[in-house]
Amino acid sequence: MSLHHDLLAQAHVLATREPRRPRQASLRRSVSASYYAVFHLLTDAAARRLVSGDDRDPLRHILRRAFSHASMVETAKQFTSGAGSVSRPLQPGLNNLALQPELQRVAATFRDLQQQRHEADYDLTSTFTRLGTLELHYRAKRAFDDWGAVARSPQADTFLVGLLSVQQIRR
Amino acid sequence: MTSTATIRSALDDLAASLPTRIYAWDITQGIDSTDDHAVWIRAVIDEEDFNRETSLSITDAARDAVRSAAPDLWPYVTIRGLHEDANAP
Repeated sequence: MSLHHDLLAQAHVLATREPRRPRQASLRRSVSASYYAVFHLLTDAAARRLVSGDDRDPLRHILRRAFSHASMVETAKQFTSGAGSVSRPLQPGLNNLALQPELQRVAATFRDLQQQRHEADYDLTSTFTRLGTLELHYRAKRAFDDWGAVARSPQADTFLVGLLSVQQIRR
Repeated sequence: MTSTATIRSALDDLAASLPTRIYAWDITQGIDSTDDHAVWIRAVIDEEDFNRETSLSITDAARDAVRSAAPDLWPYVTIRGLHEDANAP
C-alpha cells in the first residue's frame, strides 16, 4: 500500500477513534492526514510522470522533495476556476482544452484541505467536529477517484507541472 | 466585500434542493492562510442524517452557491452535527 493510501485510511481511523467524545488531537491529526493523503497522491503522480523507469525510485524521491505547499496551493487556486484562470506560462500545456470538472474538484479540494490542515496544526482557537472531519476525509477520498478519472490527460499533466514550478516559471 | 447577509440569503435559497434539513448556517468572514479573503461556513445537520453522499452534496451545493453570490470570497464549507459541541476544547 502506498503512503497516500495509508494516510487516507489513517484519516478515517483517527476521525472515528473515540466512539463517544472525540478528542481534538485525534480530529486535528485526521484533518492533517486527509491533507497529506492528497498532497502525496499528487507528488507521487508527478514524480512518476516526470521520471519513468523501475530503477528510478531514488530520483523520484528527490523530485518529490522539491514540491512546496505554497506553489501547490497557488496552482490549485488557478485550476479551480477554469482554463482561463490558468497562468499564461502554463497555458500551452492545456492544448486549448477545457478543464475537466474532476480536475477542478481536485484543485478545490487541495486548497480547502490545505487551509483546514493549517488550522488543525496551528490554530488552537478553531474547533473540529467529528462530522466535519469525516466530511473532509470523504472529500479527500473523492479526490483520489477524481484524479483517477483525469490522470495522464494534458490538463492533468499541466496541473502537475504547475504544482512543481508555478512560482519559478512566472519570473 | 460581499456581505454576510448576501451569503446567508444565497444559502437559504438552497434549502429546498438539499437532501436534508439544515438547522443553521454558521458564517464567518476573514483572511485565510494564503492572505485571500474567505468565508467559513458550517452547515448544521442532524447527526442521524449524516453520511458521505449527503454531506458531500451539501458542501458542494453550498460552495457553488457562495462562489456565485460572492466571487470575491473563497468558501470553506464544512459540516457540524446538531448536537456536536462547536466549542469543544
